[in-house]
Amino acid sequence: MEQLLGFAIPGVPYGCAYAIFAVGLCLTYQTTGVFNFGYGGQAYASAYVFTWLTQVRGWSTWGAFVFSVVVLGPGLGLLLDRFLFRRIPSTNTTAKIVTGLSLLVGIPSLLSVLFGNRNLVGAPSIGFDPNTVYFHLGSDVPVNGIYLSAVVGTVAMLVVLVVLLRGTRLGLEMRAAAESRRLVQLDGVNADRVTATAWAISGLMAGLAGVLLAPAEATVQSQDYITLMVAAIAAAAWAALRSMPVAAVVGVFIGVVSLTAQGYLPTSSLWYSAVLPALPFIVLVGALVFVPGLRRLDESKDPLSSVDPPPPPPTADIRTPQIDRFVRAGWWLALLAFVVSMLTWIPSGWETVLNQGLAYSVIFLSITLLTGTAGQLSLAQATLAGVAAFTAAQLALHFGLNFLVGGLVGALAAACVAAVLAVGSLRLRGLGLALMTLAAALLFDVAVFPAHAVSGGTGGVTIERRWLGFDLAAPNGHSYFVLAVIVLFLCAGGVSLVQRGTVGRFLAAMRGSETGAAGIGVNLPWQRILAFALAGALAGVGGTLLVVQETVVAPAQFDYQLSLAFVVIVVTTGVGTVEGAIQAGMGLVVVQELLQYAPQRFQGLTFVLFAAGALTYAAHPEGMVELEKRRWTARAERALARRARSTAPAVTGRP
Amino acid sequence: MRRPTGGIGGLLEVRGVSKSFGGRVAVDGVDLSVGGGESVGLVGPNGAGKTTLFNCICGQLRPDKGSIVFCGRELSRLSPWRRARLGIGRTFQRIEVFPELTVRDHLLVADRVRHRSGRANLWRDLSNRAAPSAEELGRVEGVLSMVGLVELADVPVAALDLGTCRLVELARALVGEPSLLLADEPSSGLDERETREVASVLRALQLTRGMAVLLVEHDLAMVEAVVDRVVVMDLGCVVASGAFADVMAEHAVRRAYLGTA
Amino acid sequence: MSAEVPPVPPNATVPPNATVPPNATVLEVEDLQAGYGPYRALFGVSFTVEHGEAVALLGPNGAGKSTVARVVSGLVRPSAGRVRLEGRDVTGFAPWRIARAGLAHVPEGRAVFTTLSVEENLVLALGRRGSRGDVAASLAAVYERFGVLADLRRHRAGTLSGGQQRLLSLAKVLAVPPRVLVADELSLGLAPSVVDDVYENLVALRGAGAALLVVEQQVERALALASRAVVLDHGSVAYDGPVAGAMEAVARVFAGPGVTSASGTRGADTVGVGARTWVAARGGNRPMTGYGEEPGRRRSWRTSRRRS
Repeated sequence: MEQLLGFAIPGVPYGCAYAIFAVGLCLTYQTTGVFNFGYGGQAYASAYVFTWLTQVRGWSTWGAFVFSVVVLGPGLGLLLDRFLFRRIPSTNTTAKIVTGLSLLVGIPSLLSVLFGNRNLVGAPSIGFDPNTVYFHLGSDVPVNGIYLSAVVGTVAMLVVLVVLLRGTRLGLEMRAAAESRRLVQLDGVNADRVTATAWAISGLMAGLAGVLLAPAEATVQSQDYITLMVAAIAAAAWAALRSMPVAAVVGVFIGVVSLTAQGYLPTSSLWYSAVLPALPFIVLVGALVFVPGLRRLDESKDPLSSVDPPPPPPTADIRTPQIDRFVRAGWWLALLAFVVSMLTWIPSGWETVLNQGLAYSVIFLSITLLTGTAGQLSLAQATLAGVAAFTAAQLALHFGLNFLVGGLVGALAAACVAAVLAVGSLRLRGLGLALMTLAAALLFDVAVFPAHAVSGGTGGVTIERRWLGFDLAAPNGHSYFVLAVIVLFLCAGGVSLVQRGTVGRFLAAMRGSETGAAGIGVNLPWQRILAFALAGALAGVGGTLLVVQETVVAPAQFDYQLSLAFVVIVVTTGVGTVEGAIQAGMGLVVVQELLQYAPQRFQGLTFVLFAAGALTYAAHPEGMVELEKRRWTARAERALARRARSTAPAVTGRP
Repeated sequence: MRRPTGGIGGLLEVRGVSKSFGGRVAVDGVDLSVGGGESVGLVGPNGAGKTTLFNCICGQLRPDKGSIVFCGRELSRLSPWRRARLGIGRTFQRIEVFPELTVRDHLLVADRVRHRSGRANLWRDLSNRAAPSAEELGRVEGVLSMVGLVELADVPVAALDLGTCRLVELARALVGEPSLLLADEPSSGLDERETREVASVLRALQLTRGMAVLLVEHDLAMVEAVVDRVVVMDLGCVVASGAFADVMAEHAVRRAYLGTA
Repeated sequence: MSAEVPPVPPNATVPPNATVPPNATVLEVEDLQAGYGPYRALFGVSFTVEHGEAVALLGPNGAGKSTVARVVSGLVRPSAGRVRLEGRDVTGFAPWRIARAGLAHVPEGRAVFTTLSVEENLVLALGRRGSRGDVAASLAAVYERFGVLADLRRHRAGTLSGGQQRLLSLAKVLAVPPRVLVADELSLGLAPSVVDDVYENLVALRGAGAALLVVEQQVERALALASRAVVLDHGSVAYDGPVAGAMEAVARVFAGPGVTSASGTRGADTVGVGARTWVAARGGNRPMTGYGEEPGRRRSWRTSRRRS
C-alpha cells in the first residue's frame, strides 16, 4: 500500500493539471463551441511568465502568481475571444481547428522571441514550500509542497467552478448558453458577455494548470505543455467534451496511473519504454472509438441553428485562357531559372537550404492533396513521412537495400499506415478526425519512433554513402539537387493531374458537400481512404528525400509538433494548389535561413510568422499567398480588358 | 405522353415505417408506394413527419421499424451512396452543391460515378487520360440543354444564384439516369417565378423520360403542377391520398393544413 | 392539465409606459428583406402592430412567417428594411437588447433549455432582478398560474412532454410580461386540449395590455384571438386587414392560383413557357430543346444492368 502511494503521489501534480485542463477544454467547448487547441499555448505562456518573473525579475511568488494567472490567463482568453474566435462562424470547424493549432504553434515561439531563448528553471510552488515535507501518508510516504499546492489549487479551482456554475446567475447563463447561444439571448442575456466570461475563466484555469505544473519539471518547456494538452484532450474526449466531472476524474486517473505504473513496471520492458508514455494517446484513441458522442460533435444541438447561414464558399479561381497561358509559361521559366541558378551560381550553403525546401515541398504536397483537395484535416503528415524514412533506413541497415528503392517501399508503408488510419476513423469527421490523426502521430512519436529497433534510439540512424546511388552524398555535387527537383516535379505533376482528373473531382465533390456527393453515388469511404493513402505516400517520399539530404534519420525530424506546424504553414500560403505547397516548402527554409542572421532569440519567428498567417484562415481559406495571386490576376485581367478596348492585345510579362 | 403505371408492384415500396426521436414519434407506421414513372407529392403541415420519412428513404436516417424496398431490394441497411447507385437520384432542401466545381464538372462527376466508377481512375488521372470523352461530353451536354444550363456550363456554382443551383442539383441527379427522383422542397428559398421554372422542368422530365418523382413540397401550386397523385401526412401518419383536387377537397386535409374544423 | 387557468395575477400586468400613448404603434416593420446566405426568404414585408392589439401572421409553410419573427426579435439580420419597437429603431440590434427592450419571442419548436430544470428556466427568464425576494415572488406567481410546472419544478425541462415544454416557454414569457410577444407556431404538434390552454394564456396576456404577433398555421385559432391578420405568400404580404377578410385570403394563398383558375393539370405548354422565361431572363435565346430526346434510354440501361 505504501509502495503504491509512493509511486502514485508523484503523479498527483500531473493528474491535477490534466484535470483542470480537461475541465477548461470542456468549458470552452460547451459555452462557445470552440475546441481550443491553443490551450496548451496559453498554459505555457502563464507558466513561462510566472517562472520568468520569479526567477529572472525577482518578483515575489504571490505577485508573479497574481500577474501570470489572474491577469495574464484571463486576459489572453479574452483577447483570443475578442479578436479571433468570435469572428469565426460557428459552423466553420476547420477554421476553428486551424486557428487553435496556430496558437499552439505560435505562442511558444512568440515567447522565445519576446523573452529570448532561455532555460527557465526552478519555478516555485504556490503557497507551500517544495522542499518541506508537510506530512507523511501512511508511515513514510512524504508529501511535499509541490504535491500539496497542486492538490489544494486544483480542488479550490474546481470547487469555485462548481459553485459558479451551479450556484450563481452567471453560471446559469453559461449553462444555458452552452445549450443554445441564441435561445439564451431571447431571455435578455448578453450571450457575447457570457462567452467572454467563459473564455476568461478558461484562461484562468489554463494559467493555474500551467503554474501548478511548472515546479514539477526541472525546466519550463513548451513540449511538456503540449503533452499536457494531449492528456487533457484524452480526458475531455472520454467526457464527450461535455461532462466536466468525468473530464476531471479521467484527467487525475491518467496522471496518477501513468506514474504509478511507471513505478511498478520493470524499466527494461517494452511496457515501460513504449506503452507507458503512450498511455494518454491510447486513452484518446479509446475515447474516439468508444465514445459515441464524439461522432456527432459537429452536429448542432441548438434548436435555432437553422438561423445560421451556410458557410461562404472560397472565392472562385477563374482565369481567362490568355492569362492562364502566361502564368503557365511563367512557371516553366521560373523552374528553368531556378534549376540553372542552382547548378551555376548559388553558393553551396544556400543550395543545401533550398534542397531541404524541395524535400519539405514534397511533404507539403500531401497536405495539398488531403486537406486542400479532399477537405480532410490530418495532423499526422510528419509522422507518415517518418514511417517511410525509418522503413527505408531499416531496409538499408539490415538488407543493404538501396535507400532510394527503400524510400519507395517506405512510401508504400506510409500509405498503408495512412489507409489504416483512415479506415479506423471512417465514422469521425471534422474535429474527431483531427484528434484521431493527432493521437496516431503522438503514438508513433512516443512509442514507435524512439524504439531501438526503429530508429536505434534518439541519435537515429546515420545514412551511409554506400546505401545511396548516384553519389548523392557527395559534398559539392549537384546530384542530390537533380534528384530532388525530379522527385518534386513528378510529385507536383502527379498531384495536379489528380486534382484535374476524375479522382480529384470526386474528392472536390466530397469536400464541397459530403451529403451531395453521397447523393450522386460517390463512394465516400473509399474516396477518403484513397486520399489518405495517396497523401501518406507523398509524405513518405518527401520524408525519405529529407533524410537523404540531412544524412541522418532521427525521431526529432518527425516530431508530432511538426505535423501541426506543417498544416499551419501550408494553410498560410495556400492549401488548395500545388504552388501553395511549393511556396510553403521554399518559404519555410528561406525564412529560417534568413533568420540565422538575426539575433538568436528571433529563431522562433518563422513559426510566429506562419502562425499569424494561418490566423487569417477563417476569412481567407484559400491562403494568403493564393489570395494575393488572385488579386493580381484580377488586376491583370482588368488591365487586359482595358488594353483590349484601346489597342490590339499585346501583353508583356507575367502578372 | 406516358401515363403513370400506378402504385401496384411499385418501384418504391415503403411499408410500416416508423421513426421516433427520444420518445417523440415523428413517423408512425407509414405506407407509401411510388410506381414506375409515377409522380407523387408528399405534403403536410410542419412537423407532420414528411422530412423524416424522406430522410429514411434516402438513407440519412435509419427507420426504427418497417421496410423500404426499391426495385425489389431492401434499402434499410444501405448507405446513401449505395442507394444513389441503385438509381435513386435526389435534390436537397438546403442545396448541396460543390462550390468550386463548374456546372459542367458537377455533371461530369455524376457521369463518371455512373459510368466509370471502380475502374482505374487514379491510373487514368496520372497518365493524363482523364479528359472527358466526346461521348461523355455529349451526354452531359444533353442534360444541360434539357435543364437550360448550357450558357452557364463553365461557371463555378459558387457564382450562381440559388435558383440556378437548384437546377444544377437537378441536372446532376439526372445525369445518373435515376429511375426515381427524390426532390426535397425544391421551392424553398426561391421566388414564385423560379419555383414555376423548377416545377416545369420536373414535370417535363417525368413525362418524357418516364422517371418517377417523389416530391416533398410546401408550395401546393408547385405540387399541383408536378404530381399525378398526392399523399398527405399529419402527425406522423398518412391522412389522405389520391388525385390532387380530390385530396385537397377532403375534410381531414383542410383541417391538417388550415386548422379549420 | 387544461382544467384551471387562473386569471392573470395583479402583479403580472404590463407596467404602463409613460412615453407611449395608448393605441400607438408598438411594433413597426418596414420593407423587410431577409434571408439565410443565398436563401432569400422575405421580399419587402411591411406591417404594424398597435398597442394592445393581437395580429395573426398567416400563410403556408415556407412563406416567410418564421423569418419575420426571427428578424423582429433580432435572430436574423435583415438585408434591408427597418424594425421599430415603440418608435425606436432596433434594426440590427442583438437579440438580447431587443428582449430587454420588451419584446419576447417564443421560437418555433423547442424553446426551453432541456438541460436546465424547470425552475432554472424560469429564473433565467426573470432576468437580473434585484433581490432574491423579487425572484421568489415572481416564481410563486408563475407557479400559482401553472400548477403543472410547480409540481415539476425540480425536473429537467428535457424530461417534460412537448405540451408541458410549450407551457413552460409561455410561462417564461409571462413571468415578465412583455410589451410585445412574438409567438411562433405555438400549437405545432400539440393535442387540441393543450392548444386551448396555450391560447387562453395568450388571451390573458393580451388582456394585460401586451401586443401580440401570432404566427400560426391553425388559421381559425389565430383568427379567433386576433383583431387583424397579415397573410404572407412567398415572402411578400398578400393580405393585411381585418380578420373578416383574412380567411378568404388564406384560402386563396393556400390553394395557389392553379386551383382557382384552371382545374386541369398543367400541360407541356406551361412547361415550355416557364423554362423559356428562365433562359430569356439570363439573356440567352436558346430554344428549349431536348425534352423529347432519348426517351427510352434510361429504361434500356436499367434493364440491362439488372440482367447482368
